[in-house]
Amino acid sequence: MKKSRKYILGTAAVVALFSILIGCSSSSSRDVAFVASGNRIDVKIGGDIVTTYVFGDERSKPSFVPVRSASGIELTRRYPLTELEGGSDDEPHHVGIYFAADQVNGSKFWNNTSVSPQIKHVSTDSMKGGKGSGTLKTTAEWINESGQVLLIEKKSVTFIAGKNDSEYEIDFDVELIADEDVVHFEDIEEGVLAFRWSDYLREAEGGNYPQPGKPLPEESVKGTGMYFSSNGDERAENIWGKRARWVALQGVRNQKVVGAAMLNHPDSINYPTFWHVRAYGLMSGNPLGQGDFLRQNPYQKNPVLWLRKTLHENEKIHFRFKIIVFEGLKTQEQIESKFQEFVKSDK
Amino acid sequence: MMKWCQSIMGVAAFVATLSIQIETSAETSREVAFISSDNKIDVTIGGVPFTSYVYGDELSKPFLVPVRSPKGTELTRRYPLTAIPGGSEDHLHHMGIFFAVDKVNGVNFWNNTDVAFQIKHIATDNVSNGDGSGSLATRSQWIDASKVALLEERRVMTFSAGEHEGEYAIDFSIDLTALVDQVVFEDIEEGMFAIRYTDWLREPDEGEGVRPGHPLPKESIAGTGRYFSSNGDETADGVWGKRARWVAIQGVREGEVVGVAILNHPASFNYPTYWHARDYGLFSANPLAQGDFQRQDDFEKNDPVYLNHTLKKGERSHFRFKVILFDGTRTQNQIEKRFRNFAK
Repeated sequence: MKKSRKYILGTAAVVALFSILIGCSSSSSRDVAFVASGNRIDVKIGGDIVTTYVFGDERSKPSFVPVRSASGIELTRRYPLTELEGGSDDEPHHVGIYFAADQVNGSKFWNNTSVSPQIKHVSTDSMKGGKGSGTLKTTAEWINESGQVLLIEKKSVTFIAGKNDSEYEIDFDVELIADEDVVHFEDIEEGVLAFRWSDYLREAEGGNYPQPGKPLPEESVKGTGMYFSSNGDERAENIWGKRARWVALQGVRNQKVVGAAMLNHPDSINYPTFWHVRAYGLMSGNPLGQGDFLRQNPYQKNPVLWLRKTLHENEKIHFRFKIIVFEGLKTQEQIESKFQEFVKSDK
Repeated sequence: MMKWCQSIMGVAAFVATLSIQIETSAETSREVAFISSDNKIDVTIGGVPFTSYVYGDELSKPFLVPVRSPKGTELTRRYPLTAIPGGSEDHLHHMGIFFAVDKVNGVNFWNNTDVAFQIKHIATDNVSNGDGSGSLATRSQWIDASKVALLEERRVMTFSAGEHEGEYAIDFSIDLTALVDQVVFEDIEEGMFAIRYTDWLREPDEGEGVRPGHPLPKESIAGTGRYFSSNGDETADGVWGKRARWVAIQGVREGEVVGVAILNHPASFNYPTYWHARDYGLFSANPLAQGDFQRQDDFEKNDPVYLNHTLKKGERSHFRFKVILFDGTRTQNQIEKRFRNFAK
């Protein structure tokens, strides 16, 4: 009896040791897998669903929702998919991570919950899982109220398991190709690559947000988040409407610091992008809204420099962003070095 | 060309005179004063020469030259005013601090040492001496080869001392107003708000130049400079052709670190500006050449977004830069703080 107990303990110790070893070494080899069913594609990292790509005829645009941290904490708002007591119910068109813009030849593809106009998923072109990373390729059409296709959207979304178990990355490579004689983007703040935060991660009032060397703030559905940017700015009001190479937010959920950083690649149109970042929970990079941002800034010494991006048939524009979903307090320097790596990465 | 040379010789003589004055005057006050004479306005701080605004019918454009650090170290190249052994002789049109651009309705106002077309000083509108700060307001015209004035340039230069130890600053607020029906600025890297710094601050072919926290490199006319920017980029290779809120360079001269920072103000046209910063000595901000910089970058997934900035008669563009001339090593954080104060 004594002997067998010892044996079991020994085995337990070996298993524990193994788990530690696996934990340490699995970091870059966690599998990324895609599981498609109906109008959804689950994205799994190391067997856990980190997010789901949802689309379909009844949706105004595709979204990745919910978006979870590596240990499963939801970072995106549940509303309007699910209501939450004390939660926000503004802007039902903000769902998870999505890509859209107002106004394209006058149609509002962003501020829209109907299916006319619509950004319609038309095909899943490739789903390639693998060790450490996997890529999902999709095609969507931007269809106006008259049923005309204005733009073809080719999206290549690569999930990267990350160098450690506490984070992963989503590399968005998006091409818009004009399918009409002239496709005109107005300069409007509403766009383009967006992340709608969980209410718990809304921007904190006062100092109730995670700071190095201080105890964690008390978790609240009112928000404990704080934005920071590559310019060294903090808070949505200081980041909104400016160009920056990256913006990040971190707050507290389930007693952990969680957050996401959105990096703009120099290959992307009108880099470094302007940012449409709001305290109530929207983080969006918008390189097309230039004139609208300049119009609203406090410096009015120059007439507004409008972009008014116009594409002729078959012309295209390229957008590239990386979203890093992380756990644990991050510094300016850490996100900056991630950005520098991203710039060097080829695709 | 003869007249231009005479004018340059005059400036060279003045440089020599100033050198003597520096040795004899004591640094007691921060009074910023302007002394006007024929085609130049000397700027002194505490009675000591800081820089001179030079202009005239023989100059292709007005210049501030030479420009010194608070300790009196010359930060601008002497050539073509004076040739020095081992010194550079490229780009005659780069002198001191200047403001110009190629091409405006086809005219190369930047790459120009001639007066057939010219940025011509027309009037000194205001001169205000003051304790710690003084300002000079000037008016120029950008005149093409047919003697048509395309643009009116109104410039206010505020010279300041004492905001920070070991730093002088010049705040440039410049408005360009179209005087003809249409003025088109092509997207060309050659521009716009520039300093041609001394050969000693050039980036060296070997070695890394001055880096905070590292031993000082050995002084050399071949250069010990190193650029750094608000993006955290370093060296001309890292800085050139990108947007940034500010860029600085520092190197060794007379055994000590000296340098120059140029800050772009958020109210300035197409902020944050692109930078035309070269290792051989040119340090320039150019917000107009967006398309030319994008065309040359490593990222070719999108067509360049050309500005082809156009002003109709009476329309204007506003440019604002602050130049800081400093003694002693500066860090990224220090210049960032200066930028934040400037942007407020």
